[in-house]
Amino acid sequence: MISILLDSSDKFLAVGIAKDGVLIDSIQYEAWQRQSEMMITELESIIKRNNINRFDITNVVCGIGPGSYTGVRISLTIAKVMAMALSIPLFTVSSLRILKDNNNPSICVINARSGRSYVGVFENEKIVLSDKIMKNDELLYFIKAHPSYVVCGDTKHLDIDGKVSNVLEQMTSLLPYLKEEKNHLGVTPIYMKD
Amino acid sequence: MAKIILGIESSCDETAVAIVKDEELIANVVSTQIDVHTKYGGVMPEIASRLHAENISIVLKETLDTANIKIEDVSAIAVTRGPGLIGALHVGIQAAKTLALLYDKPLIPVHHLAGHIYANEFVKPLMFPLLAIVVSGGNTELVIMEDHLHFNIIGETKDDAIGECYDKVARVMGLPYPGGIPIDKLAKTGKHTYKLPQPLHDKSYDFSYSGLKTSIINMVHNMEQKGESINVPDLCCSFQETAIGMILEKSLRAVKEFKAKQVVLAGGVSANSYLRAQIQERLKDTGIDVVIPPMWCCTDNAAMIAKLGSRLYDEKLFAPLSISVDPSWKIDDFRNFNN
Repeated sequence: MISILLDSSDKFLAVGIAKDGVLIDSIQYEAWQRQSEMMITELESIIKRNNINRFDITNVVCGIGPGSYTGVRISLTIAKVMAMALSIPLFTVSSLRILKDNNNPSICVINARSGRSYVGVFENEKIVLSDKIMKNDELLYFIKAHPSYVVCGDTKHLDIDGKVSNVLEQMTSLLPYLKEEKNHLGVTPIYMKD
Repeated sequence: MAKIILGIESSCDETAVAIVKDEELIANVVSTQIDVHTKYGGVMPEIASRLHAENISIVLKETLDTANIKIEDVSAIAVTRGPGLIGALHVGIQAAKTLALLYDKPLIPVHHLAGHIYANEFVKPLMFPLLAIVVSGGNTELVIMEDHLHFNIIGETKDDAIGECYDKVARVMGLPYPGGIPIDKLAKTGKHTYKLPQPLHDKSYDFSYSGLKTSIINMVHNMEQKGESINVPDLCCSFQETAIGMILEKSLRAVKEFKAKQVVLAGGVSANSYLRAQIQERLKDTGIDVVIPPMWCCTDNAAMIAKLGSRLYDEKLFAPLSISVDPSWKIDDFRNFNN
């Protein structure tokens, strides 16, 4: 079973291959506003160096937001077109959920700009607090009120340190808990803002 | 083996996919967003991008099903790389690159306006030298072609595009978006009674529409303040004859100077009935051929992208998978797709 993993919902670009539920190869780096050029070329290099062709791909897993609108659309468009063309299932996952820490309850954060953040709280495979948008001062208060939780994600905008997780590892381990998008043709990103 | 080109277009407010097989159009699917943007009185770029992302694989699937073609059988993937709205273009280009990668097909980046010009090939072969009158919501330019794929911009708008001007003039008269259709319709029942400025009424082939727009907006506001009412059909007629008149005058001069054998219309404003009628009327009995694109070609579509893609396929104008979009790509630079 070969899963293609994709996420470009924030500054990063992440492309991975999971085989039978184990991440076997990955490419991840900061590619702010270069995801349009790089996403497909990185996907090309990872599938070529693993000798994978389209017939081998069992499913595709993609971050669905919230995050950068254009970033999310780039991965999700690729994932949707793959699912349609190859007639394979599409699984989507919150781009906050894949930021979580492995062993601790996590407050996952993505900068939503204009003084706000996208926030979700997760513990192992459980969703403690569904993804929402919060004002940064509210979020800082929330973080202070939950000292046992690890703050995850790029939190420079909050002037605090966030733990950086391997989103592709998280995607792989969450795969059994993700819902398949039955109507994958019409899937849209989670924007959380009009 | 048949040459099968799959074309993808998402530069503005239509998500479109088409397939051309040995120069014949065998599927052409367009999902238009016009009703959504009408509510806002213009195309909202973020909303356009969202709808493209929502609809792209639906439109792709419908096109493949209609044509009864498998992606395996396609010779190449052609896609609009620009000009257009950046976020909207991204969706089409990612879809095209995904298919090109998975199925190991050549990727052909297509210039949107060149596509509009080549839409005329669905009517008849192009003849050179050719004058293309490219008029749309985002562009106003005169292009001379001495041969296939030789685009020479001899003049262009210095500010607003003609279609944009139509939309803004329509709005000040209380007419719906897009403004071209209601103005064209009402102009037929009016007379050219309002004296309007003709900006850039000079020897160049360039255009300017912002002054004309502003003068109409000011005139309407002044009349409203004085409690006078405007005669909407007359203003529509006056505006249309002035705005299109500039295109006609400069086009006819270009036809003479460049000894054009054929004149083609391209872009959304080529649906305008006054432009269509006048260009034919004024070139009647001159021996110069006038090609009027069918109405379905005036709005954005992927048939024209696949059609031009088919010619570029013969030229082997293929791009690496690392290309991105270019919202302000110039037509005379269509062979250059470096980011």
